Amino acid sequence: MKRLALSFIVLMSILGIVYAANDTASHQVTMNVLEVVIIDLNDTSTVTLQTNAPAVGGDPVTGDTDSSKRLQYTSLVPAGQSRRITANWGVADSAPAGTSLRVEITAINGVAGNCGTAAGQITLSNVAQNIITGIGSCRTGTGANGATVTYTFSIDDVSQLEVGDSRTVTVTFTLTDAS
Amino acid sequence: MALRHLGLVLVWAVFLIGSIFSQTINLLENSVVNWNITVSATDLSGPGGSDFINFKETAANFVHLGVDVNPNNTAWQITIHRVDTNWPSFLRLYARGTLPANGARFTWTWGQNVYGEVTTVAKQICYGRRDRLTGINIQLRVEGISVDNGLAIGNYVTTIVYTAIAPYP
Repeated sequence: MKRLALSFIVLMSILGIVYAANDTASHQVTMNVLEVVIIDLNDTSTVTLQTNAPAVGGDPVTGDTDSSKRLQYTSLVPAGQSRRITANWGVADSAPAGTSLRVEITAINGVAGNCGTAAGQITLSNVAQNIITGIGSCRTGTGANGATVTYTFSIDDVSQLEVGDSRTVTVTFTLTDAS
Repeated sequence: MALRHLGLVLVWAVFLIGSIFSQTINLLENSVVNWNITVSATDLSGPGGSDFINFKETAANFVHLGVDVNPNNTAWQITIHRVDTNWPSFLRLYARGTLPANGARFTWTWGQNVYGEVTTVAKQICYGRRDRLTGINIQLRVEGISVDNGLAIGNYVTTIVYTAIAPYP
């Protein structure tokens, strides 16, 4: 009789499990991450570069350099692709006679991902030229971070220099797909 | 012989009692729709060089569930878990109940407006004791949206499963 009672209890316990009911509902969560191509300068104020007289007569006239600007960009690229940054000035822009304006990325301080490789110094013209290549998915960060832009005002032919010859040019940086 | 009959009677009694006391529970899907999230340049926290805003969140009543349990006064619980299709580990999914609980009849396990992480293991999100109840509103949140985490272009998919169980415990 004792065994019967025990069996009854065990069966009732199993019954409780067997008869436990449940019902479900579900839905999907989908996150679609799109391409991102965003570039800015830390500061868009005008850079002024000028010629400098030599300290000693007979030495060459030199031009200023400036490294105050940072290119800051966020890029998400499709797998297997990369981007580049080009620089150019306007179609009507030019440097004073006997000079040129050169630009170079002298450091790339990125926060995350592959922010590319500096392509070396270029002489600005109205044709876009690479200054950074091989940019993947990355962000440079803001503030003091980013790619340091160094401008060099180069004296190419001192015989053509004219006192008072001043030009204002607009330099455009473009983050674009690698060609 | 008498013992054999007693055994048969016992089995019959067990099934009779079982059928009388069996529970049913229905999860009322008042609003259970897919959550489609888009992450684009408009989600950056600032200018070029900045990262994405780290999280996305649904409306407070995005998921609206109810339960219908029989017999009356049966204790029930709802668990939540996710089933990943393509969901990277750096994306963390959270859920929270947003409407006030209702005493012993309905209680949020993590507390009202307190997020708990939704993982691939089922966790209780609320429990109660009532025959029919609505107002189980759930808000969802995804964290970890960051270039720093290696976020790449593409579709990330997971499925959230809500399971109502009675009796509980």
